[in-house]
This record gives sequence, C-alpha cells and structure tokens, in this order.
Amino acid sequence: MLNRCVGMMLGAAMLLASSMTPSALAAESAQLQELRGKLATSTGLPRRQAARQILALGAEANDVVLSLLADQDLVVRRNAHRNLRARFGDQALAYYEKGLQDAEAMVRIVVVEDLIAWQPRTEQVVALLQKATKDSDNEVRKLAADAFWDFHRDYLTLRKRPQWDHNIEVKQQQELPTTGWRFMTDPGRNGHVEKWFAPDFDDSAWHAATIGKWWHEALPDTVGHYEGVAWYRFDFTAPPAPDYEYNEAVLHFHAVDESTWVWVNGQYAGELDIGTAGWNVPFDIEIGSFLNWGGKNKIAVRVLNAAGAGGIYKPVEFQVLK
Amino acid sequence: MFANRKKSRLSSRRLSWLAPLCFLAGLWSILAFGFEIRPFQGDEVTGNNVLALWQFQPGAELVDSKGEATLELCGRSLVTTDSTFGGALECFEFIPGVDKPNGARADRKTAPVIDGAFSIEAWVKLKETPDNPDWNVGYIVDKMYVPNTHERGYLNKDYHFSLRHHKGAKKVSLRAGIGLGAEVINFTSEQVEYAPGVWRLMAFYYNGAGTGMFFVDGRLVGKQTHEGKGAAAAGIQPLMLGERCGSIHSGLPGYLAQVRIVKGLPSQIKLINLDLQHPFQRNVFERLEEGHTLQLRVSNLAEQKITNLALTIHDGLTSREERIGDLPPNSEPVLLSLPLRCDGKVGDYTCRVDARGVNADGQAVTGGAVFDYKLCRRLPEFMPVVMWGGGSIDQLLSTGFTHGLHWLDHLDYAAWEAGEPLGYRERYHETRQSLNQVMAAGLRALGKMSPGAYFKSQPEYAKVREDYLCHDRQGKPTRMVNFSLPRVQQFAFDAARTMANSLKMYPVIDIVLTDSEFRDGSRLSFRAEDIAALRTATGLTEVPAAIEGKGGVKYARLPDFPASRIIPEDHPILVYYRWLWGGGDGYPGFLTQAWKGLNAKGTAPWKVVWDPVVRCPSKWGSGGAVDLIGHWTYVYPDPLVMGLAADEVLAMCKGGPSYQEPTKMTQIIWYRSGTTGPLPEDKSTWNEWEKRLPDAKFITIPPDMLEIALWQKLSRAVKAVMYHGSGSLWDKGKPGGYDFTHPGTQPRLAELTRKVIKPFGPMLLKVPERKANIAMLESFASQMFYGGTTHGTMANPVGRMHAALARAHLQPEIIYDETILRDGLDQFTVLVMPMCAVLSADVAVRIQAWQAKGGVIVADEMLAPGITPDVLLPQLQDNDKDKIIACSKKLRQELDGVCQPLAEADTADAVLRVRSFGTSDYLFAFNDKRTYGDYVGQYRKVMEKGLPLSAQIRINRPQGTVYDLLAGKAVATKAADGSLAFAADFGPGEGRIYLVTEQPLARVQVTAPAEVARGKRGVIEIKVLDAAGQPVDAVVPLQIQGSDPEGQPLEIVGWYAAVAGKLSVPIDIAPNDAVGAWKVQVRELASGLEAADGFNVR
Repeated sequence: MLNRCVGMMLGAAMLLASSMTPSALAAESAQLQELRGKLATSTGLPRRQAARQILALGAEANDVVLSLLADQDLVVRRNAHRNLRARFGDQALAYYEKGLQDAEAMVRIVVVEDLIAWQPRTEQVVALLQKATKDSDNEVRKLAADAFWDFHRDYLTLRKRPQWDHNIEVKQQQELPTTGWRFMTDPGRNGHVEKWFAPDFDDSAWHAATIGKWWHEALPDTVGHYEGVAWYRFDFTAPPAPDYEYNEAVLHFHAVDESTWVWVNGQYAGELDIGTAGWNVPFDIEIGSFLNWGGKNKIAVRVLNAAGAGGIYKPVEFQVLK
Repeated sequence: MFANRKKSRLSSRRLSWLAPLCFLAGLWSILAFGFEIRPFQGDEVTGNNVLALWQFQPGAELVDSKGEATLELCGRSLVTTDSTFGGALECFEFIPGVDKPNGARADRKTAPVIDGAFSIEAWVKLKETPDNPDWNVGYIVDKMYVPNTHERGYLNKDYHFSLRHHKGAKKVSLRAGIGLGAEVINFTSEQVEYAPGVWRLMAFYYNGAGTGMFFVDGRLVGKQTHEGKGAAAAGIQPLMLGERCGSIHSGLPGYLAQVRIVKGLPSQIKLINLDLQHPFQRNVFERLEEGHTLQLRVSNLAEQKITNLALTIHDGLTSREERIGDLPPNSEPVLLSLPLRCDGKVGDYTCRVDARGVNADGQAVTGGAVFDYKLCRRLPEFMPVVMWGGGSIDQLLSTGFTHGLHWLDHLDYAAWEAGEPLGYRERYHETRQSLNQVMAAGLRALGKMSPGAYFKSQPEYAKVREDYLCHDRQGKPTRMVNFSLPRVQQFAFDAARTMANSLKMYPVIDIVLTDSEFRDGSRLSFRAEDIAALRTATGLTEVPAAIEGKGGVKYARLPDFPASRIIPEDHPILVYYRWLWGGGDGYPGFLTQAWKGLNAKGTAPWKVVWDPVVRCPSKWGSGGAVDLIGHWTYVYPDPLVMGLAADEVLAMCKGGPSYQEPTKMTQIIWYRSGTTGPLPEDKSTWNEWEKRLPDAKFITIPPDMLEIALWQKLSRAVKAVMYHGSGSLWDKGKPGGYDFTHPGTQPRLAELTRKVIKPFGPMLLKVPERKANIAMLESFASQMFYGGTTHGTMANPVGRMHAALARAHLQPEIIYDETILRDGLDQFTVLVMPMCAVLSADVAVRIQAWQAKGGVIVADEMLAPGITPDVLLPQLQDNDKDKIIACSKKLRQELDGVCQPLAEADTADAVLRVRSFGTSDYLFAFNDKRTYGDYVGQYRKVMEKGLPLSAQIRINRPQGTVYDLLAGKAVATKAADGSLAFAADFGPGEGRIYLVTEQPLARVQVTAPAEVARGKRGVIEIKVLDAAGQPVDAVVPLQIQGSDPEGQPLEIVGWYAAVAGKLSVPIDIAPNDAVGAWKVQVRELASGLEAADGFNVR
C-alpha cells in the first residue's frame, strides 16, 4: 500500500515537472500551487480531493489537468477525462482517442459517454464511437453500440421484476420447432438497417437452419465458427388467445450464445445483451403485445456471437404466464 | 327484534346492541339458573296441560304418550337411539332431486286440538354436516301447510313452528304462525347461534290473544304482539314433525328428541325473565378498564302483573338491591345499565342478578341471570412479535408471538353501497368471540382489512368499479382502479370507520393492517380529474409524452439530455413523477383516509400499519398518514437484504408524520423457484422434504437464515417484528399453499422470542438509532431517469452496495433526495451514491457544496457526470458473497482515516451495528458465516447453512464496560489504541447484544412504598446505579418478579427497561387483593445484579 502511494506521488510530481514551463509556473495562482503541492505530496483521498479541486479551476490548470489524464490513480484519471469537454471544448476530442485506450473500462466509459453527448456528431466522433463498439469490456461496447441502435423497448419481463411477489405459473407452453428456420450471417452488422426483421422481407436466399444447436454444428459448411452478427427468421403459428386471465406471453429462450435481439411481426420486442456472459443465460422476451393470436407470426432473432460458438443452441418455448 | 315492537325506553340503536346475544353468556346464565338438558319429567309428562308428547322411546318409538296422535314415519326419517333422551327422530332437509317428504306424520283426526294459550316445545339437535349445507327452512312442527294468509280460509288455521337458517351469519331464527281462520299471524325471534351437535330446547308460546314468545333453553329470544287477535282456529291438515305438511322442501336437518304440545307456558322458564349481557359481547377485560356496563333486560312472562319486583345485584365484589316496582303483563322489558367492575384482581368473576316479585295470586315469582367474565392483567410494554397470518392461540403462544391476524373485511361493500360509515353491526359476532379468547390468552390482535384491494378485485364491485378506473392516454379505461378519485377515497374512510364502529370497543385489537400490497397496482392515469389534479399541484398541463409507465424513463433516450445529467428541478418528467409517487396516484391518500376512519381522535385506540412500504421508488409518503409502516423481506439469496430493507423503511419513516414508526417483517416462506432448481431425475438424491412435498411452491425459511434476519431487525429501532407464512412455520398436515418443509424453524423462532425478544424487547423499544456519519443516497431522480429502485431487494447494485457497507462495518443511513433537500448533508462525512446517474439541480448543488467542505463521495461508474467522485467502486452485478466482501474491504481501505466505524471485527462474516443512548452503546453482532447445506444448498443458489465463527471485535471508544446481555455478564476486554477489544464465538446464525456503558453497573436499588391500601396505587421505584451511586446513562433491561401473600405472582411481573437507569412501576392493588406482605424482586439483565423490597397491603 505504502509503496503504491509513494509511486503515485512520484509519478505525479514527475509529470507535473515535465509539463510546466517557468513562466507558467510563475503565472499560477497560489491556490493552484498549493493544490499541486498536495497532489505531489499526499496520497489516497486527500490527493484525489486536491486533484478534484484542480479540476474546478480555470484555464490556468489546463496543463495540470492534461497531466492527470495519465495519473496512476484511476479515480483521478477518470475525473480528469470527465473534465475535458468543459475545459477544452471541441479540442477535447483530441484526447479521447487515447482515452479509449485507457487500461480501465471505468475511464473508457467516461470517454464514450462524452462522445455520445457530443453535438454535432462529427465523423471523428462517429469513428471514435465505432471504435468503442469493439471494446473488450461489454459495458463500454454496449454503451457505444447503443449510440447507433434505434431499437429500444423498456419492458421488464415478469420473471425479472424484483417486486413481483407472486408465484409465476406457466399456464401454457409450446416448444418452437427446431427446424424450419431461415438463417443468414450479417458481417456488416447492418441487417437492422436493411430491415431483415420486416415480415415481408425476402429471406428466400437465406440458409435453411435448425435451432437447438450452435450454428457451427447446424450449418458446418456455410457458417463454421463464425464470430459476429447473424439472423434467424421463423414463421410461428400462435395458439388462439387464452380465454383465461394471464399476465404475460413470452418467448422463453433456454439460452442463446451470446447476445440476442428479437422482433415479432416487424416490431421490436426486446433483447438480452450482457456480453459473453449471456451465453448460457435463460431469458424471456415479451411478445404477447405484438402477437397475432391464432395466426401466423414472423419471428426475427438477431444474434451476436463475440467469441467461440454461437447461435440459438437451446430450445425456445412460447409460454403464457400468470 | 320484532318488526312491530313498541317504542321502548332505549333508542332503537341501543336496542340493536341487545340483539347480538352472546351464546356463551346466554348459556351460562341459563345453566346457572337451573336449566337442564334432560327429558321432560313429572308434570311435564303427566300434567293435565299436556296435549301431546312424542318421546321416541324404544318400544314406543312413534307413540304419543299423552294423546292419541301416533306417528307414521315418512321418507328417509327414522327413530334413532340417543344417550341423553333414549331416542330421537332423525329428520332430513330437502335435497334437490329427491321428491319425497321426510319426518313423521300424525293423522289430523288424532292431532291435538288447540284452544287458547298453548306452547310447542321440542328438543332439537341440528346436524353438524347436513346433506345440504345451504338449507333454508327446517320445520319442527307444522299443522298449517301454507304459512301465510291464504285466500282460501280453510288454509288459515292451526299452527307451525320452524327454523330459518341464516347461513352467512351462522345463525338461526325461530318462526311460528297461528291460523286464526281469516288470516295467519306470524312471529319471528331474534337470530340465535347456529349450534349444530347440541341439544337445545326450542319453544314457542302463544297466549291465545295475539302475543307470541320464543324461548331457547328457557331464555326469551323474542316476543311479539298482534293487537286484537284471538286463538288459533282448528284446521284440517295432518300434523307433521320435522317437515312441512304438504311439502318436501322444508325438512329439518337434525333430530327431534322430545316434542310437546301443552296448554300454557313451556317448561324450564322463569316468569321473570332476565337477560344480562355486555352490549358489545365482551366477556374478557383488562384490569381497570373503565366505562363498561352490562345491559339488563327484565321481562314479565306471566300473564298477570308482577308487583314488588326487586333485584339483587352481585357485581362480583359487592352486592346491592334495586327496586323496580310493578311490571304489568305484556309490557315492554325494563332495561337497566349495570356498571361492570374491572377493578378486581386478575381472575374469573360472575355478575349475578336475582329478581323476585309477587304475582296477582300473592305467590312469589323469581328470575335470575349471570354474566361471567374474566379480568386479565395489564401487559407491560413489550416488543410486538406479530404473526401476519393464521395460527391457533396455542401455536402463537408457544412460538412467542404477541399478535395473530384477524380478518375484518366484513362490511366494506355495505359501506360502499351506503356511501357513508355504518354503525354498529352484528356481523362481527364470531370475530368478537375470538377477540375475547385472544385477550384471555394474553395475546393481542392484528386486524386486517382491505377495502382498496377488495374494491379492485372482488366480483361484487365489478359493476361500480367501471366508473373508477384509470384511463390510458387515449382515454380508454384500463383494468386498474384509480384510487385518487374522491369517491374512492371516501370509501376508504367509510369502510374503515364502519369497521371501527363495530369493533372499536375491543382494545385487544392493537394494530390494524389496511390494504397490504395494493400499491403494486399503481398506474398512470389520464382522466380529466388526473390532469386537473396534476395541473393544480404542479402547473403541468399534460403528462410529458416520453412517459409511458410508472417506473420511469431512460435518460439516454431523451433528446438533448444534459451531459452533466443534472436536470432542473422543474424538468417536466421529474415534476410528473414526483407528483405521481408523492401521492398523485392516490394510494397514499387512500391509506390516509383509511387511517382517519380507523384512528382519528375518538374513534378507535388502534395503530394502523401498512406494508410493503418500500416496494416503490424512494419518495417519502408511501404509507400516507398511517401510524406504522413496514416491509416484508424474503431472506435470500443474501440475508443482508433484511438490513437493506429495514434501513429503507427507516428512511421512508423520516419523511412521514412525526408519529409514524417503522416495523419489519420476515417472510417465513421462500419461493422454491428462487432458492432451488428442478428436482434431479434420480429420486434417491431428493432430500426429506422433496420426497414428501415434491410439488411445493413455497418452502420454509431455514433456521439460520431466520435468525440472521431477526438480528438485523433488532439492530434497527423498529417498533415491531413481524412474520408471514404460518403454513410454512407450523405443519398443517396437508400439502399446498405454504408448505412446511423445515421442522427446525419454529423451535428456533420460539427460542429467539424467549431468550431475546421478550426479555430485551422493552429495552429495544427505548434505544434510538445512532446518528450515522455515512449516508447512502437512493436517488429518486436517478430511479426515474435511469433505474436503481431496489423495491427492498438486492436485485440491483444499490442493495449490494448496502451489503458491502454492512460487511465493512460501516453503518450507512439511507437517505433520499428529499432528505438532502430538507436536512442537508452536514451530519455525514461520506456519501455513497450507487446508481446515481441523474440528479436534480438542487440536490446536486447541495452535494457539491458539502463536498467542497470536505465531504467524501463514493460512487460507481454511473454517477452523474456533474458530480466528481472521490472513491469509485464498480457496480456489483450479482450477489456473489465473495465479490461483496471484496468490495467491503476496498471500501474500508479507501475510507481509512475518513470514516472510522464505532465497532469493527476482523471478519466480514461478523456483521455489526450500533445503536446508542446517552453515553452508552448497544452493539448488535451476528454471525453470517454460511455455506451450502443440504436443505436447498445443493442447488447452489443460496448458502443457507450457518457455520460457527470466532471473531475479534473492537469498539472504538477509549473506555467503558462491555456486557453481553444474553449471557448476563460483563465481557473481558483489552483496551488499546483508544478502543476496547474482545473475542467472541458465535454459533451458526447466532447473534449477541453488547451493552457498553461509561461506568460499570454497581447495584440495583428497589424502593417500594411501606404500605398500600387495597383499591389504591403504589409506585415501585427502581434505579440501576454506578459505583458513585448515580443512575447509569443507559437503558438497562430488567426483570421484575414478586408475589402476594398467597404466593400469586404480581400483576407487574415481566420484562422492563430502566431508561437513564431509572424506572417507576405503578402497582394497582385491587379491593379483593390479599392483605399482608407483598414482595418485589428486580434483576438487571446486563450483569445479573439483583435487589428486592416489600410492602404491606392493608
């Protein structure tokens, strides 16, 4: 602990010394000088508090703030990145690319958040955000990807509601056939732009596929160990509408490897997007709101496989819940 | 009672109080005055006044032993043997599809001829399980056929006598008719208890001149006069017993043992009929309750004037005389109110009234009645241990519960229909009976009513409900009720006041729970009334378009959302949600109206409780104006969820009315779906309960988790601990619903109530919360624009951060945005801000100003960019205990030197919490070391099995004496570096309370008055002193024992708390208490010091 703190102090002092000219030092206010001193000599919370107070100072602190972008203390570094837009205006973009390479996701998230809020969204901003969509950390990736994603539904399924204090009864269930699905990879990740989810989309050129297997097992010759986005489409004949009280009709996915987005009859129904950790997580997508009860329904499922095997490799059930 | 009763001395409302005749009191009063369950005897059999008598004796089963009306059995009826009467006629009610009459028939030529005054009396026993439980009318005797005036005069003759079944009220009324030739006059008694399986003597007397009277077991239960009418006319119908003649639809579902038709009055009645009852059916009272009276009704049953009528009234302690004077025949009863004495000592009492007078022949006539009642001890202040559910008195007592649940939803629909509160109603008769039993057992009742929940779900409201629904944005009604509408809110008051009007005289109802859980149904509503209310309260003229549900929006989807994520106070979405959750949805207002109906001054002496109060965003006022708010918690997967929810209830309380207090509930049930997985295919691996109850949906909380939960509740300043799920606590012997799957849970709870809650409960009620130096913000703005509402669970990172703080031995106070706006942050040195993604401007400004003065902000990656954190901890994405402990260690490391806990341990498995009084601290410590057991642990969802734990505990205060309260002794401590350290060994799930005092307890002093007269009050003064003779600056738990000269325990024995080292205990000596030397012993429970004193009672 002691060694780490001493190291941080030395590092900060060296950074400050290398970045300041004599005239700049002379122009420093007494407050900044005092804070720089604290920054150099203190550890832990007092040091962070000094850094925070520096961030509140005006342009005189610009150089110090830039030095803080490389501070060894994650909190100081993150707070300094958060300070860039307000301090440097449009020039802040110049520091973001490096910020996206920070070792800590908590720093990279700050950069992505600021990029998302950036107006106008210039090509440079878009490029940085797109870069972030490939981030190794799922939260960073998801945050960046969300900036390009127009499909949202705020709906918490019954099984996920912490306040739902009743036993959930499956009143009706029907496993979807494993065969009869259509499948296509989407390496350009623009299937949603081309409306591959639309009911009238022509998928005749797609592959016939099965679910219940990873796609490298279901389509070994055409897909193999594909990593990226792919789509499934299926014609689902729904049962007649229940004549009893129920709370929710869902597609219950026993698991999809890894992230999943679902449309029903062209309408966005929901997703499970928790990154690679989602590969074996069962989940529900509420579809009753969009369903043509007793008739044909077009189900479209977009799957992102970021690593290893991918696809709808476990059963999918239609369930009516009470 | 009777429809055409003449105006009496009492108002009609007071008379209505007399109607609900208490079965037990009535039975006792009759039995005490010579009533017997026996065959007719002597003159009752052989007297000249006997016209017919059927006794169903072996060998003469169908014989009329006085007349000639031999019977013939009909249908399924038969003569059975009976141990009391020798034989009986079994009769049958109508069963659809069976079209043959039952009963027994006598030919019209042999049936007795009635002339003038006569009586029909019969010993009747109704069946406990009739074939048709919905039977409506059961005839005892019929010789009329058509029981109402008929256009054909020959049908308006003779008589009938029957019972009408009031199924809903579980009562019967007696009915009779007399055919006068031109018309039929009918009589109906008051309703009496439906008592199947019991022989009862039922009689109807007609005086031949328009007056009829009913008797049950010798007691008058109805009298009515049709002015100017005469004797019954002789008809042509046969006589039927147990069935209506000429019908198959009115059979009696029971037995007739002896049936008699006589001239004059029936047997076993007193000519002076006394009826003595408590007007509200109470027969159990606490000592020194005031203002109770008994209602005495004196009736003259003789057909002549009674003169010199006098009463001797023995009130249980003294006797007195009261003269009535003369009582004419057929006069209205004399009604008297007799004061009921409750100043006697604890015990059983009888109030007895004897009446005597003289009839016109100069003969003495008498009557009498008794009222038996019980006086209970007044209970010292105690910590309520409430079973929010069913349970027998024995089950409740043996587990240590102080309260059981009593359902009081009887009259809500009637109140809705009336549109105003209803007055006293009989319908609570059974409830009243059980409330008497509860008080006699030394228990209290948790009443439950749900007018709101009923209104939104019960079929009888279906039609009216349509006018009071929420509307969607398009103006279309939804399924959900709009509880903000004035008529609906008025209903809350009306239903509650109606219940209060019928039961407020029962102080054994201590707490009333109203509309538990109903706010789950809260919805947006776009009715014109809603928009008008919104406009009035906020100035908004419409609901912002981005709002789709009650749970909030996503800031990321809102255009032009500030990059700082600090929004103005008047942001329309924030304004709307503040209005909605601040009561715009109507639910808190509905609760307030119910509270007013139940608890407004002068109504009922009850506290009103509502739960679950934090199953909503973090906004004050969720419970409206109720007295107590609570929340139930499922204690899995991490039992520290109990501490989270308890602290949230405390936070909610801070914004309620000044009197509002917190309670906390443990769910005895566990959702099986949340704690286990699919059963293994190999049945041999199933454990005991899985084999016994493979389909169980709700299982029993295991004992270690139950205990861990309790310690967290007790470590907070809650005013009651509650439990729900009786079906999983006690084996009900059949599967389904809440299943009983762990036999160790109930004994553990019983042990905890005995060892912890009862002895230390009074102390716990007096020790306040310790002022916290670390706060955890649950931000309403963030919840509405991002998420993070916990609903009292650990389903998101907010709850997990709270658990990490607890494991770090930091003791956070949960605060809301409103807390900051009202109270500021100056109390705190650290502010923890989990999931605080969006803040309102005023909140942010206050946080920033506080931080500028040195406050330390701990946050996660979602903190609003406008706030700069000092410590960053990533959100905890699951409930993994190791991750939470790692986070707790990081917290301690980061806050080292900034926020020193008062108490800490060398292991995160020892969870600590401190409350303080004066210079004394109360350290609660419990063992949360657990592993996966074989109850549910095999599914790897919950570590339910506690393990032993040894811990080093340190209290960071330089001096003091530490007492282990459960052990009742001081703990050896080592002082170093300004702290006191000691070792503690815990069993699985075990907890302790350590009292730390500035000075050691040196002695206990008890001072009793030298002498107290019977009927007077004395005061016992108790002090717990330090070595300097000063009362200790602590709340010290005490036990008081003592006895009177006869060895009977004193009323005041029990558990107490000496606040600031002092306690005054009044003792009220009863007029009938024993004289002589009384003894009082006091023991303090921290170290076992004792003292005693005595006093003389003269």
